[in-house]
Amino acid sequence: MWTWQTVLTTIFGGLIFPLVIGLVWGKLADDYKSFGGVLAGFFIVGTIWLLNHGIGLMHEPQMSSSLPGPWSDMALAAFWGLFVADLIEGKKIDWEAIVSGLLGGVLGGLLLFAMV
Amino acid sequence: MDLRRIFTGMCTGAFVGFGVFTIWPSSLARWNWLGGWLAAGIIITTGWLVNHYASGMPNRGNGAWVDMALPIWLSALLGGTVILDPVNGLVRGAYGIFHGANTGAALMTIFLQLVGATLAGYLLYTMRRSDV
Repeated sequence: MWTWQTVLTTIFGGLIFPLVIGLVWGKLADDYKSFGGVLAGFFIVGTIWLLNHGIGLMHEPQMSSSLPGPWSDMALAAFWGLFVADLIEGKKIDWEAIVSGLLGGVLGGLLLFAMV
Repeated sequence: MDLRRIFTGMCTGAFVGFGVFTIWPSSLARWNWLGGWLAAGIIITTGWLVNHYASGMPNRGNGAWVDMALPIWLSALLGGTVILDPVNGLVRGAYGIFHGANTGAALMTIFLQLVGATLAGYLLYTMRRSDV
């Protein structure tokens, strides 16, 4: 069930994740190289996961049905926000990276499907 | 199009997509919210090292950034999630489109996530432009 409150929290959840990644991750990786990425994993993804999915800023009503799913992870917002920022800046679409990402998602989905 | 690079990116993308939706719900089931926080450190950091630090995903400097988040999101949407439950062992957490889960039910969430992310993309662009 969607209300204006859940619409607002879901949009904000989608906004905050790519924004913090775009602002902080690169700086951490510049300062501390690979260790910066490790710090970012904990402090950006871990903490925002708590807000978006742990506490539930992102509303996912499909998860309460008898056949729960499909799960739309906050990762979508991370990909799209960073992608859009570069597109507005005038960068080109890199099809090689897009195709490998899509194929990776299909293979990952098949593996998850095959597990249980 | 370099097929070998695409194949490498497909494998490293699938690794992180599968890893997130097995390790994350399992850590959550075992250690509650702290497990959820730790899961980011276990799998996202490893996935980032492989996909972006070591460039498993074939991003180029002049191309719009394609994050490993794309295969992560798609993996769960298509294949659902799997939990290693401390009591019941390996159980399914969510179903995916491959199982016949109702895609329409998730469309509103997907749309609003994209709205928020588009706003973030614009804010990031303006922040970068004003960087000194």
